Amino acid sequence: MTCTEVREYLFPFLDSELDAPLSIEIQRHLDSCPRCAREAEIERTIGKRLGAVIETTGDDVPVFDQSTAELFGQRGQPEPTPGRRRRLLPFRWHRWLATAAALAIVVGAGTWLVIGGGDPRPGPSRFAELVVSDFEHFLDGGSRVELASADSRAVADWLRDKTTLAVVLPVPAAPVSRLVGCRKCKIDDRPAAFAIYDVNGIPVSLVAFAVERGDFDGMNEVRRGGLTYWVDHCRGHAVVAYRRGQLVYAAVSTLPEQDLLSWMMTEEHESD
Amino acid sequence: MEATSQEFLRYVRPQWRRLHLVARRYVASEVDAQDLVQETLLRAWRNYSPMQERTYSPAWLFTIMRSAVVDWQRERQRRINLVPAPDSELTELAPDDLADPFCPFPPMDEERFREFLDDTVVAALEALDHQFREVVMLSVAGGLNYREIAEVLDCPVGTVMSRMARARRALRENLAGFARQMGWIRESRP
Repeated sequence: MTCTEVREYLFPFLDSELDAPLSIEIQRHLDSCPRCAREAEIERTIGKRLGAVIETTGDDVPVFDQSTAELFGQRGQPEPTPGRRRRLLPFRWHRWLATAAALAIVVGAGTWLVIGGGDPRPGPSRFAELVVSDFEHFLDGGSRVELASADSRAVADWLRDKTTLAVVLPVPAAPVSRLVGCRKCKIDDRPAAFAIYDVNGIPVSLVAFAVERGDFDGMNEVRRGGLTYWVDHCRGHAVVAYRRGQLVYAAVSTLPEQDLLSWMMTEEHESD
Repeated sequence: MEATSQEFLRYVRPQWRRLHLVARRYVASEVDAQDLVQETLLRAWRNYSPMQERTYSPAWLFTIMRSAVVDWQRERQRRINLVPAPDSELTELAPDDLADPFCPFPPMDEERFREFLDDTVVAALEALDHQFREVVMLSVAGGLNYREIAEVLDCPVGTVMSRMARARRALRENLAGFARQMGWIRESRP
């Protein structure tokens, strides 16, 4: 393959859109041609940075919450006024109404507490919010695994190299539990190692990052097998965390809390 | 009915973030982008019928969004960033410039190059012709592959492939232009 042919197919190659034989030919050329390899690296970097910059513009995307879901709770929505764009509710009205309703709830709940009338159910802890948001972001396609591998040692080595965290990963109990891959990420602005597992067909994420004071505030403490775990729930997900060395490990899944806890307790670790 | 609603939400939820990212590239303001996503989902909901023997891919939602953009453009009540243009399939399917050498870039260390890109890459994207910007946008912000982009644009995959290559080349030229303005590239030799 010539440099000219490589240039013609470089972008579909970088986008993984070529069939395997052509991809292999291009890769062989890149391995032997420093000039084309440099061009490919420049284009790869441009593509990555463009993706990263656009992704960061999505940090303030509105949450897909219950009020959004309720818009689609039934058919037969109000028909549009002729000549105007169709809407269920004018968007800004909807937001104003939601804000007013939220305010009313807060004021009502505050009054309820002041007069000692209730013990309102607390919301999820900040820790659970953080790790569940990251899990949802991953499942929603906001990011992908950077290394796809079922080899716990290889994945842990990659994560240690990329994050400089002394990560120790569980070795899944096949065939029920399987490691799928990993990526590096940030939780609360802290570098974090993220691994994703398939447990009986249900995704389980395990994220590790440097522990800080107050991380487990608002979570329930559970003692099992001589170890302390912190447990919470957020948006239909169970969160189970434990501390190992200077790192906190948090598992997130739609598995029931007890199943997730059992999974964390029964898995062996790759360096044990 | 409740089951249909739940199925629809299960289908839409994973696309929620990407719909917003793309909508923000189609229209000029955040409010318009939120309206566009809502309009897209309402149209999708009206046409959603899981009993039909068909699959609903992410591309279906972006096809609907594009159709809404075209309608808005007709109304001319919104400032639309992207104006869908007629395809010029023959020239795009028989490109003669995709094998040309790439626009040169100055030697920069990796960190400096990343910083440069972070500062300029979105502006370079915005400066692209609309049909080029759209394929990049659907790929990067929408997460669609070439086949799905072809479905959204209703054109052959080959058209997407050549349009993407031209878009990326133009993006690079724009970036080189910025680097030149910033004094990082000297004028090319005659």
